[in-house]
Amino acid sequence: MIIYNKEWLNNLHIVDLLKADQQANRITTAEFDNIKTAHPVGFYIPGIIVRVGLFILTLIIALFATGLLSLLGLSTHLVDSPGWPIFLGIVCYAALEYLMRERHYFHSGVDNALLYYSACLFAGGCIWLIIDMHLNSVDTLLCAALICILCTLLTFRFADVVTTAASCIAFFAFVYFAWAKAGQFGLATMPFIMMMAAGGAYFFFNRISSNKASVNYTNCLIIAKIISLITLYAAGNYFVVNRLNNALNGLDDSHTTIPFGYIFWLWTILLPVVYVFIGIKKKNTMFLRIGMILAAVSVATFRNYYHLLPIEIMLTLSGMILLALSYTIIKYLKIPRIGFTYAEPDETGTLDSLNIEGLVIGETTSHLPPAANLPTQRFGGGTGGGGGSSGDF
Amino acid sequence: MEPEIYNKLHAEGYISDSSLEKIRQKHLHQLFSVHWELKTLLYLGVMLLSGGLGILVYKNIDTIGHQAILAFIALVCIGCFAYCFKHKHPFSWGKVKSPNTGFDYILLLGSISMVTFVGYLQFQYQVFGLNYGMATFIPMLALFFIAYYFDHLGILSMAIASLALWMGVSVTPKKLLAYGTFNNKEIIFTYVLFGAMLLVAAYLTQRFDIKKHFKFSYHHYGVHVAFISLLAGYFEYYDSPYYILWMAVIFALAVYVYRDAYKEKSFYFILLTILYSYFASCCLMFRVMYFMANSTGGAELLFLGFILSAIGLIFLIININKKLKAA
Repeated sequence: MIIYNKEWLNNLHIVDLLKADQQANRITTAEFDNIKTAHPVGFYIPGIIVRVGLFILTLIIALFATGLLSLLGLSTHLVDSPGWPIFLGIVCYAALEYLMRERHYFHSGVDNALLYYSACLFAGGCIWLIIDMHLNSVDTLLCAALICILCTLLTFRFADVVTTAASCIAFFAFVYFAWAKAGQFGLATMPFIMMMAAGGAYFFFNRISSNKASVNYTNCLIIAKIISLITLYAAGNYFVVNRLNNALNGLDDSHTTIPFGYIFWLWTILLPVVYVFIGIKKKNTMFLRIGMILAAVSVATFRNYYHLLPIEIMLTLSGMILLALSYTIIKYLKIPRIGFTYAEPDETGTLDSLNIEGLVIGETTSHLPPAANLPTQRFGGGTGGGGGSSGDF
Repeated sequence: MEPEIYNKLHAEGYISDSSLEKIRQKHLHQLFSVHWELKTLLYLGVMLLSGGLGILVYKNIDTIGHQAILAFIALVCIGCFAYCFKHKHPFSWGKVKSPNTGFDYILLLGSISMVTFVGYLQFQYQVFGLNYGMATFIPMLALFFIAYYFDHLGILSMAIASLALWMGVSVTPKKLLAYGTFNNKEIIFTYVLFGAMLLVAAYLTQRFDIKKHFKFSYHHYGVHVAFISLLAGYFEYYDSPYYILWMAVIFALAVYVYRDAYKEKSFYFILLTILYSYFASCCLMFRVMYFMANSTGGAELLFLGFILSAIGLIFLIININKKLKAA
């Protein structure tokens, strides 16, 4: 099923696990080297920057190669039919399988690019086919099902996180469109069905990830769980429910009340708190971070409907509260307590070497104009786009 | 799963008893680090607070009066810097670790309010008169001083951005592509000059060992600005014979950045060089094909050229990566 050499995958898992121990000096370097030689990994696994480069270049190659084929086939009118992208997708996929066998890529950028490109071509061709069939009532349903099945199969084969995400989203879309077919009753119960689907999906993925056989899909399962948790929240978020309700019933967006609105307000406000609580209780980074982000989303949702405070007071207050809060917690956790610490985690990623923090500060603060009435017209401000890299292909 | 792996490795003799015991200890007393979460909250707090204060001031300008606002901003600024001067580690030309986490953020808040203060002063009272250059020049100098004195990479980025602003250009890659108006010669030359300045600064930083870890910031902005502005220059002079000059400079720069990156073992810059020069070569290929083959087959040949060169680059990247790792 999975395309990678299982023994190498297993060895890779062991080596990765022990590498952290070696960096933290829990095992000696000699021991680590012995383990490494005893557990050979034959995959080609470059660093993140190399992967980005290979991804871009492979995508360029794939684009021009399919372009060239289409150009050559232009006279035969094959190009006009939905079969053409499907054919190209299959060719791409064949190239991918061949390369994986020959070169043992392991999420190296080349395989990612070919995988996504072939999946897009194939799915695009199939969607074209479905639209050509003029099944107006069920075409979105069919498309969602198709993408879900295709991406699930690809996930099983390549254990890729992007296809996992696509298949999860397609699955939820499928549930949504299918239930919308149930008429007025379906519309009224939609949020609850979506909540049930998302909650069910989360427990399903959680169950699988505790299974030993799923060890090669750890990252995929994490992504699947994250998407399920976010969907679970979105299904009951007041803003989302309100807008979808309006869209499905053909109302405009001036309608801001929904039946049983208080349930959704409770859901919007409480669920992030619950997530953060679970995150702290179970010491689970995923829950904690999702909870923090969704808390911000909830604040934005609330503000969209009720303007208790003017924006500037809210910003100032929340800034002060955040500063005070984080400062207190940092002070409190100077010495580790109840299993929590403020110390940096042992593992340092490659991204640290790019000093992301500095670049983020540069990006977010450089728009603060030092002098408001600077003559920006000096060089002809204009809005012209494209920069230097305007296309000439 | 995990204990099984350790036990198996132990049984096979790969891990000694003492190491296994250390690993057990670690799993018993595993600490949960909330470092990044708290840091993000701190950063958000600074951003929200400074943004909120900015709007607050803007909206209430009529009631509180300019002096009061200026005094308040100055107070925040002075407070922050007083704290930083009190707690800082002694200055050195090497890397200085910040004394505590709050320090970096207080310094950031102080610097932002300093910039706001000067901007406000100029906006309301025209302290620098019509000499707009001075209004950006002085905060820029201050920012550079703060960045070096307290050793803060984020403020160095701010300083570089305000240097760009002083020269009348913008610097972060996102903005370069979003608002970059490369439609006149003057601005292109300004960008080229700016890029060259940054590259020289990066070189000097390295050569004379002045805060060596600042090199990355200079080099990062310098490489992007220089390549993008040179490519813009190439398109500006597309129809004049000078185009060849621009291309020559682009490839010379590519060679320089590549050699430097190879020495530093920084794959990031090698990749940038490769991608930018690939784009430049594609432009050249297009030009050659355009003149050579208006006949049939020209487009196909061009596509084939793009594909083959990209495949070549993939092999090149893989090889360089291997060499860098081995070296």
